[in-house]
Amino acid sequence: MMRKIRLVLWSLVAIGIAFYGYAFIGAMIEEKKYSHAAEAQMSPLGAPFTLTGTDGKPFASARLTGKPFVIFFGFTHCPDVCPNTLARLARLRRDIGKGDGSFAILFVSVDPARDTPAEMARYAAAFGTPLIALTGSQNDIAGVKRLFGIYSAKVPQAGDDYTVDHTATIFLIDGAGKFHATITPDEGDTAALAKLRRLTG
Amino acid sequence: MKAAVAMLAAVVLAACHADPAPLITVNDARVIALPNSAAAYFTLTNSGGRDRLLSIAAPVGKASLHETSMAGGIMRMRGLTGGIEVPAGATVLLSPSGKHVMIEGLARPLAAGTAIRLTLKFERQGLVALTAPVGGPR
Repeated sequence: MMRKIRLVLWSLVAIGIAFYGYAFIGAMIEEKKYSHAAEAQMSPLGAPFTLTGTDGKPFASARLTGKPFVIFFGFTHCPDVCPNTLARLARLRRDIGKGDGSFAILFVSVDPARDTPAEMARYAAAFGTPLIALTGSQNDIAGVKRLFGIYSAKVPQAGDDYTVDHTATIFLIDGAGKFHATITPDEGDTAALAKLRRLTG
Repeated sequence: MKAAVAMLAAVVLAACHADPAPLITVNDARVIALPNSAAAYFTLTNSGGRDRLLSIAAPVGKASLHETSMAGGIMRMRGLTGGIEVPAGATVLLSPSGKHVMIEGLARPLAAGTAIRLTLKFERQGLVALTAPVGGPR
């Protein structure tokens, strides 16, 4: 009996050591990846980018120079958080009362395989307010996601369907193209309005 | 008198043990329509015993129960294959950024200002049909 207990305890110690060893090596690899990424692109959050507009033509963020914008990542097969976030931004823009031109609302697809420019156009039109809906090649999207530190991952659903987990933070970029602030999903309208008012001067 | 009290006690006890039937009403149903999908939200008010919302059907497309969760700023959406528990006497909300109905595979986009039929299937209460108004994302 004692021997059995001792065996179990030593096994646990061994598992523990193995686990920490693995986590340590994992952290080292992760760190290395991170430093490589940092070397590869030292660009600040919100640096210039080019994607594809709803007309299928390139859309360069430089086109917005002089005008602040907010940018949100999502996908058109997202029926809950994405439309509610975009509708909320449109409502907050109305609440500020400086017109639709006070800041642009950019919606970038994290699902370019399904979100063609035409699909993005139909989606954006449903909101009844000016939205800049952008998609692009897998590479272009990956590049812009990196610029904003966006996470996204395809998750299979029943059948051949899938959903996409993604960062739901809204980024605020000022008229000079510089990062201004974020609005996180758990922030209330009061905080969000204050930030948007500051953004629009 | 004594007998009456005893009988009342017996009835109350029996009612408790018999796991009373659920009595669920569906309120505040609404549909937010997008070109290729829609979300439905409503409130379930149960003034009876426990039940479970097993599934939902919509003639306009393929409806399923989903739950959105947020952790560390990341949005995740998962199918609620086990349904939604509706405890005795409880109010359960299907609301934005929480539990909701997702409708996909729309034959044609739903028009704002119209209404669609939804049929909720409960484990104990059975089928509950309702009509929900359709609106755009607002």
